[in-house]
Amino acid sequence: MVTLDTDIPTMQKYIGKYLDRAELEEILFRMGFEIEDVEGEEVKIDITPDRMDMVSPQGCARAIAGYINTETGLKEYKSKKSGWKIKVDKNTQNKWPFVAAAIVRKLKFDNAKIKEIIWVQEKLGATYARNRKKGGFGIYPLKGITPPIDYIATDWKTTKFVPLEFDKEMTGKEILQKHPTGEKYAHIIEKWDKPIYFIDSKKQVLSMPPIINSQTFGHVDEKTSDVFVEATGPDAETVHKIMNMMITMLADAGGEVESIDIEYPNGKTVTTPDLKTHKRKIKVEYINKWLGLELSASDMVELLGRMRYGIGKVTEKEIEVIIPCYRTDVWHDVDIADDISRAYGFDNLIPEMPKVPTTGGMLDKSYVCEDARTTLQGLGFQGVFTLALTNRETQFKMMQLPELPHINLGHTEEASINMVRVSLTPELMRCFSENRQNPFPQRIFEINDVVVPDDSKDVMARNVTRAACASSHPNANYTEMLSVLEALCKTMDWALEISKAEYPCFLEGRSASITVNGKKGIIGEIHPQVLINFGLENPVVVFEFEV
Amino acid sequence: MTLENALEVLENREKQILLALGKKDGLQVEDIAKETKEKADSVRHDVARLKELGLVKIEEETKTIYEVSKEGEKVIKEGMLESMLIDKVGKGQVKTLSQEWNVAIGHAKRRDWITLDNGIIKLTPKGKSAIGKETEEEKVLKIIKAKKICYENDLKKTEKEIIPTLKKRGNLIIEKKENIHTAYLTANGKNAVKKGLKTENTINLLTPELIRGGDWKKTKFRSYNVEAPVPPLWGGRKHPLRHIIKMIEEVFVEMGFSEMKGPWVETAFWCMDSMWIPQDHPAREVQDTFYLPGKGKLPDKKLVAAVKEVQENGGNTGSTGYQTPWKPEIAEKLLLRTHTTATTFRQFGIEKIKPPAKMFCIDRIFRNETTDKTHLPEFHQVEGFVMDDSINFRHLLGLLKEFYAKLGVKRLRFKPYYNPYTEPSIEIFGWSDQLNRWIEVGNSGQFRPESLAPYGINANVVAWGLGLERIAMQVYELTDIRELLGHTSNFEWLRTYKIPRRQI
Repeated sequence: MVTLDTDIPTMQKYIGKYLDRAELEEILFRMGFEIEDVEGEEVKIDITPDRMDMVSPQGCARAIAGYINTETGLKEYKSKKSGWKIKVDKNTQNKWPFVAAAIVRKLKFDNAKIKEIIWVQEKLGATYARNRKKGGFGIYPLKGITPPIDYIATDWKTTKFVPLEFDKEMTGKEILQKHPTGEKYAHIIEKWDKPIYFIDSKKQVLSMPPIINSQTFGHVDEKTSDVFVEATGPDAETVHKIMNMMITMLADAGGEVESIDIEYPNGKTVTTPDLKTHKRKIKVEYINKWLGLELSASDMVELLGRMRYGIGKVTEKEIEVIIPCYRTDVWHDVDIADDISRAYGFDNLIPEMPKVPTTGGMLDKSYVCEDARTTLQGLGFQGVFTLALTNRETQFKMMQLPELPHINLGHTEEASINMVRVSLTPELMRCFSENRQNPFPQRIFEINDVVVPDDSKDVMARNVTRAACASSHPNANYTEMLSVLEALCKTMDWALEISKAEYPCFLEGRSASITVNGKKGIIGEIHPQVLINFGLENPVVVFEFEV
Repeated sequence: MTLENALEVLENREKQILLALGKKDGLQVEDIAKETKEKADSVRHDVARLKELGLVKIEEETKTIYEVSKEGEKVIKEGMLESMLIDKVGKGQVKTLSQEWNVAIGHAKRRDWITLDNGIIKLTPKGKSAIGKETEEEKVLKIIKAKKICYENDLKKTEKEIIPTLKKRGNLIIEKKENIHTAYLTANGKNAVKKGLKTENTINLLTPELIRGGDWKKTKFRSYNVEAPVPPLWGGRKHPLRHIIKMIEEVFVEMGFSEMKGPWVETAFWCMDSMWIPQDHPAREVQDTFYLPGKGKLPDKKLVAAVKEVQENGGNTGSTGYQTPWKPEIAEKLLLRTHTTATTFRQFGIEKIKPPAKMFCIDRIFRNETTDKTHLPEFHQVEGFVMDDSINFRHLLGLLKEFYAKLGVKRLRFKPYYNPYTEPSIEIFGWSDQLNRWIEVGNSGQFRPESLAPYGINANVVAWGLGLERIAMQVYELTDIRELLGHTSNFEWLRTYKIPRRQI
């Protein structure tokens, strides 16, 4: 979850209405957002990933102002032509082909606002642009840049500039190896035959997108009032959207937006930012049916206005909805239905029990497992619930067993796991191991799934339900557990066959292979060395079989 | 406690003890046991109770006990060294000073039994008369040995005087200290005995013999101290988490839901693509998902094509789709399922269920996380869905209200939320009386048309899910998830936890 870190006075200023913390929290809750943490005037607002346009105080305030009826309807953003041009080199087209850029003038930067911009830039890059994989962007003081600008793929070794936070010139290659930001995002561009640069008409390098700006030309400070903003990336849609989220934020902060023409090598010229709205016709009946409401078209128009949509042509049956340029989450009419329901208020929706005639029940196997559990409980065994993710040490080595085919985990954040269990017994042994301090006898069981590889399945594996049951106390022995197994099988009406068999995990001459209801299993007294491996002093007798 | 009250609760065995003390006050447990023909352990228990009733007082003193050591035993058998010496001198077998008899000569000289004359040993008259006679030391050793336990006070004054010598002479005896508890009657106890205590010949156990032979009619059974503590007992119980699972299963079944199950290992297709999660969604990252080596198989071509289309351009749903190419190689990846919605979509795509349908599952899911108090890389998800032509968003709220009310959560509040495959989506909050605040109790939503279209489902589908452990921790008031799930659960708690009722 992304958080918007701001403070109440800032929010009040942009919303244009006095709201105290409790009111703000309640309104955000109804809109679908939570205030996570509050210290004094400072607030952290959790922004869901669909509404990245709300990650700036301006964007968040824009939405709130609508919701509380202070300022409703479409907020339009306009731009004047700046006359600037960016020429896109054809060698960029197989790498990072799309560019959007704009000029924003008359901004008043103070320290707080600079921090805010960097913050929003980082958050958008990390989330909506998927850690810059889908796009990156940069902001530069306009002063010092001479148009037209080239977006050009040059070379790794000769083009040099001073990257942000550094004081000497570096080549593209050096930046990826030595600059912290370069190292962090190197994986995005390191396979390119040539890096891409923004270079102005005086041959000054402005940045190496999407990695880093120049310290000389790409460093905004308190004296900056006019900025050049660019976004680049492999996906046109993302590039325009992140550009729009940034530009609308700067416009809401008081900036005047001017467009820039992007000249592509195929001869096409695109004027950016593309602050165009989109239209979508929604059917009143469809929305009502989806939500279970009986709203009229005019009801919906009012609710849509509060969600900052514009309205085009309206009839009783249909509404033309104008979607703001900064919204990235409207794919379908149901997305608009969702906004209508938010504006209507979930608290105002009357829950209704549907009449859907069905009969309920468990799967047959679940009933069988539950009966077996009840039987084992009656025989004095305590149910346990062990973990499916375990390690080879526990499952095989400590049990003195050869490795069986199993599902190997790839990269794991938790160091103690590397496989999915194939057997329950070793996990029961761990239960005993953790409970040495508790009184004996200790009798436990588990009926649960393990996973075994199976090439015939679409997932190359299959869940298998197994039952394992173990007894530990000074007099625990084979007879005791065979009695339990027989009692269980009699109750469950399972045929039981026993035949002598030796396993390295059991004491010699005190184990058998079993067939329970046609499925294989084992029973035996755990080998003393295995007991020692698990740090146990009392004998353990166990059986396990497939259910 | 008054004397009358005390007398009323007295058991036969306790009365016997009082009577024994009445005969001879100041007895030790062993003596009482002998007197009453009971076991020392039960007497000890009874005396403790009599003390509580104020009828008996216990005096504690430390007594010295002597035992004959190994060396002492040798002396009893062979005599003192100097006795052996004068015997030999008398017989002419030892005549002069020698290394072997050095110690004995010293002792004999001190007793005035011999004199030394230029290395020649000569017996004195005292020495001559001592030949063949027992020394005082030997006598006392024999007295000590004869007694089973020899207290210091059991010895006569003259005998006691020998003790230092016995200790000095090569530790012939062992001295021990023992705490002696002696029971005396209190004033009340004496009164009780004076009043006369009626004792009857009572029997402890009702046996098959007594029942069969009819002797039980003549028998007076000893009454028990029914308030006395007893040993703890534990039997086999359900695991606490299983209790919660059962409870939720029952609620679902009561509401007409059928159980479904799906594999723990999944393809990314069923876990994500099938429900319109975009292929670059952050939840697919390695940090959140356990990806497994190898790749799985995609379902039939027609379904895969439909999923591809709806992802890329919305198909015929009226959606724009994600406008990015959909890649089968991403969908083929194997993983441990991150949610049970994978199982829900298998119902749509493989089982091809048709409306009306209500299904649920409570099963394990996996997240690539490190373990701490509130996180485990695996836990359980509860999920239910309803599919019907008539279903709408308000019905979902109705279902949630009913479902949670049956679990004991009477007050709900719904917060809009975001989820890639449902719209609207809800975060469900329940009021906890226990915590006096709203707590998150689940997630829910109405499936998007894009998520249903590939399966030819025109009906609406609503669904909800909740984390089982989170609810269970709330119910059992646990602060560490590891107490609940895994081998780290303490048997003590598993044996003693209170059975939960339907309330959170």
